Amino acid sequence: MKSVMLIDDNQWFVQQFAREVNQIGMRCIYASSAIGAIDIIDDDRPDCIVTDILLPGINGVAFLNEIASHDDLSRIPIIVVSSIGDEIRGRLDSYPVSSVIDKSSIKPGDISRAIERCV
Amino acid sequence: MGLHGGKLVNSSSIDPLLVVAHELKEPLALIRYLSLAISSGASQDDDSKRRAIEQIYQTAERTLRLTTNLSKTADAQMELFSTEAVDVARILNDVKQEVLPLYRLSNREITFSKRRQSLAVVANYDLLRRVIVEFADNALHYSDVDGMVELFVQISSKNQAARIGVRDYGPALPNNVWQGLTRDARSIARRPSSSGLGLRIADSFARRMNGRVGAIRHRDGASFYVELPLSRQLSLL
Repeated sequence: MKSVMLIDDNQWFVQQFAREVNQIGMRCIYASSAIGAIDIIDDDRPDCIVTDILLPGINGVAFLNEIASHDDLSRIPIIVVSSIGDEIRGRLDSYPVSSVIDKSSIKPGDISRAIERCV
Repeated sequence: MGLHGGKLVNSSSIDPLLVVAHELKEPLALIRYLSLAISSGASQDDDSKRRAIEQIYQTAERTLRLTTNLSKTADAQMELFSTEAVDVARILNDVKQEVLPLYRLSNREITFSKRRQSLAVVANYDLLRRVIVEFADNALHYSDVDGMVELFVQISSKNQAARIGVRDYGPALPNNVWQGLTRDARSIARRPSSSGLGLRIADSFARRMNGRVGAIRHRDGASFYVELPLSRQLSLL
């Protein structure tokens, strides 16, 4: 079964996104921080990463930097979902980001559709 | 991947205004998403609908609390508030009851072990309650899922003051991040990628009671506290 890593410190958003992921028959791997994601990613490599930008500890842009610096990881499609998605979109061009979704305009189904497009 | 040790922390700074915008937009975006999920039928069974409605309510409550406190920090009348002997056990219990529904809905526990001896500090009850609630909100955000959060009180400064605060169990912060945070008094209330809005409010309220906000870094989380003078009326309680 293919898997999606959800990185977001807002647990209630995660619950909703996880429901969407499960509905398209994929498994969720959850991390509430970039550090937590790094801990997991070597042992449980996802087929897609959905990440917020403003995270506790290390922000999502720094996380994208790290992913981009590893050949094997840089091939994993990444979807950025953030309440500052529109403001930060231009800064993400140099990273392996498949799509950027602004949380302030997100609708149920947007996450699952974005995942299906890139996996 | 060699990330530990925090080498990435300073490599990608984000404008602090964007971070504040995030803190105010995020709850509204969640309310919007949950409302759409209910109306579109994405939350199909009664139980998940009830849960989504409760999450909307609690998110709105928390955001209103934040914005009310924000406006209160700008209120000139704050200069006129009064202080009194405040029973620490009573206020911590009141805070626990106030945040309990939000904690339960987030699968978190909040505990408070009452001291055998009564303890009172010189404070304004309303402001002190708001300070501790802000700490509790912050702890909820940073504690691990299914994690525990503890309300605590400690005597400090040669028995002249009490530290009243909240201890969370969440992701450890790299050393260089923590040092950056604690470099000046105002930034002690911040964590990376957080505007620290709530904690800055707590800092403002604490100063108005002649108190100060402080933080302790633990290997598995952090404690945020307000230090206030002990009341001499202790024996009367």
